[in-house]
Amino acid sequence: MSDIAERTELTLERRFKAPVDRVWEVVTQPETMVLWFGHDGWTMESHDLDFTRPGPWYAFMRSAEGNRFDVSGAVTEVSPPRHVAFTWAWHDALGARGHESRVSFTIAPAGDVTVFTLHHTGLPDAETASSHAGGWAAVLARLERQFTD
Amino acid sequence: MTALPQTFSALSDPVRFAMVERLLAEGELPAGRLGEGFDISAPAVSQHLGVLREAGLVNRRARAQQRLYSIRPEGLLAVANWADEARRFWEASLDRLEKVLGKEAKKNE
Repeated sequence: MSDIAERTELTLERRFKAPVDRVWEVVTQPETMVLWFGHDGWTMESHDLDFTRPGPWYAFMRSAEGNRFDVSGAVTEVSPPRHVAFTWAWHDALGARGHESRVSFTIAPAGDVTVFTLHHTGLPDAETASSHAGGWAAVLARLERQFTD
Repeated sequence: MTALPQTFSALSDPVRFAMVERLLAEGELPAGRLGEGFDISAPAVSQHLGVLREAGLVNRRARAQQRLYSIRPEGLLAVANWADEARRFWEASLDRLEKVLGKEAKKNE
């Protein structure tokens, strides 16, 4: 049984053998972002992937099967070389933006490696959500107990 | 399927969130009971319940003079699929990022 409570938020951590400054460059600058952003086999049709400054960004990609995947948002916080936050929404077939979520990259040194943490939350407003007494996670956990027995 | 933005935004209001919690805890309830404990008018309660219905989060049925509300599981469970897609995208991207940085590390050795 999967844990629904953990499925509205996503945290991924990776350790890289590269200095903090280099990781920062690779994950925020257009020339290097295109090298890793997206699934294996996808091609970048057009993009404005510059996470070094606040403002809008987009990435229009095509899969190996020829399907188009468009995503866009706005960079909201930039604190080099440690933290960047941006909004995120996939587009539908007609180009309309879907549900907007929030993503952040956090970079920190740890001995001879650099820890990269990605956080992606589906809640439109993290502050509103965390102010709920029971919390979003609690509701979904209860829902899961109720409907997956 | 109901659009996810609508589902998330319906749940981001504290009163509606609490109503959903109450329905989860107590099962089917009439509109009157769902409004208890909130300092809001009956029309405001109806409005909140309307938003939840439109977002596909609750079902409504009539019994005599009452409107009974209950959770619509598909609505909330749809939200859960959201993170699956996000995880697949980022895992794949970070695998590629690791390769990019790995190549550089080798070059510098």
